[in-house]
Amino acid sequence: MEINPEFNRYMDRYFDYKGQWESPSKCGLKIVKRKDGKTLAIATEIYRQNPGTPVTEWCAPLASQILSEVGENPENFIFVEHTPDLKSKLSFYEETFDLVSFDWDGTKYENPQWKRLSREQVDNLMEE
Amino acid sequence: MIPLKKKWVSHTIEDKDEVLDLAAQAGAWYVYQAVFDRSDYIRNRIKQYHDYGIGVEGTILLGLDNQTEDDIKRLIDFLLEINLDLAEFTVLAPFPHTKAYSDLLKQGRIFDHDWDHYNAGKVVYHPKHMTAGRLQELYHYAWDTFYKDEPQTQKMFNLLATVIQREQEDGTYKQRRRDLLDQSFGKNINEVA
Repeated sequence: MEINPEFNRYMDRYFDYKGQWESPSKCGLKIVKRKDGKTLAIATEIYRQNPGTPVTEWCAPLASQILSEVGENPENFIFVEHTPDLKSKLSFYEETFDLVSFDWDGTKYENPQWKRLSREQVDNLMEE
Repeated sequence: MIPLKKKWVSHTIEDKDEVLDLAAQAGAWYVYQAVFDRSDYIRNRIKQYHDYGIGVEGTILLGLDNQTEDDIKRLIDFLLEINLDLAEFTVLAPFPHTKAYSDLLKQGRIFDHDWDHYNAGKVVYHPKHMTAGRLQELYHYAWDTFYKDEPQTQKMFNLLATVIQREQEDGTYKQRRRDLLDQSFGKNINEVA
């Protein structure tokens, strides 16, 4: 299963994070500084290229780690989870985007909630 | 493998007649085949195995998002209609680190995080077209209905009897060693504390 090259539009680089039990984990990452001053982070699940915890299962700690790295305020941070199209015959490997909202406990994100977005909605989020 | 006269089981075998013919001649007597719908493809696939004297154990996954209660009941009727030799029913177990787990987690449908329950026999998520309780009932209904007229042990015996007959015909049959009946991992089970 190879990553669809198209997904580079939503990924500028790999991002290493500590997953469950501190397992070395990796995702794709694109950071967009928006016109309204907010920071958009798109974390891409890279499946077999990720040796550790999947993005979905670790998105609150992952978002916290990315937030810390970009030095943004939690209220100005937008986190989108992206699963690329793997060109599989299985429909659940199609491309998806989810806007993830969290509770902020003062030091880190918790309680993720996912809301499905279209590609167009993500493109709009990147350009606002 | 044909000259070796071995008898073996396997996962699915390619559906070309020449491959199945050679597999049967080489000793295939039983395959493990996923049965995912009531299509003619599945019907023909099972018939094709049987035509070459190969038994089929179907593995049937219940609780997928495209299955209604009616679909599951019709699927069980279908399995009996196509004379599947054995059936193993499971409910979807969304193991962590799988796409199924990620998708159900995002949709807020996983209600049980006790890993002891992730055994493919216990429903740990909300199915799309029925309640978790109803899917659990249908899982038991599937086992009970498929094996109602002929228990699983009898169906398995039927397959074994066939392969034993073949072994007797080609001279490879060996009687079970009665002296090993009480042995387990090199020890007499009657002497283990």
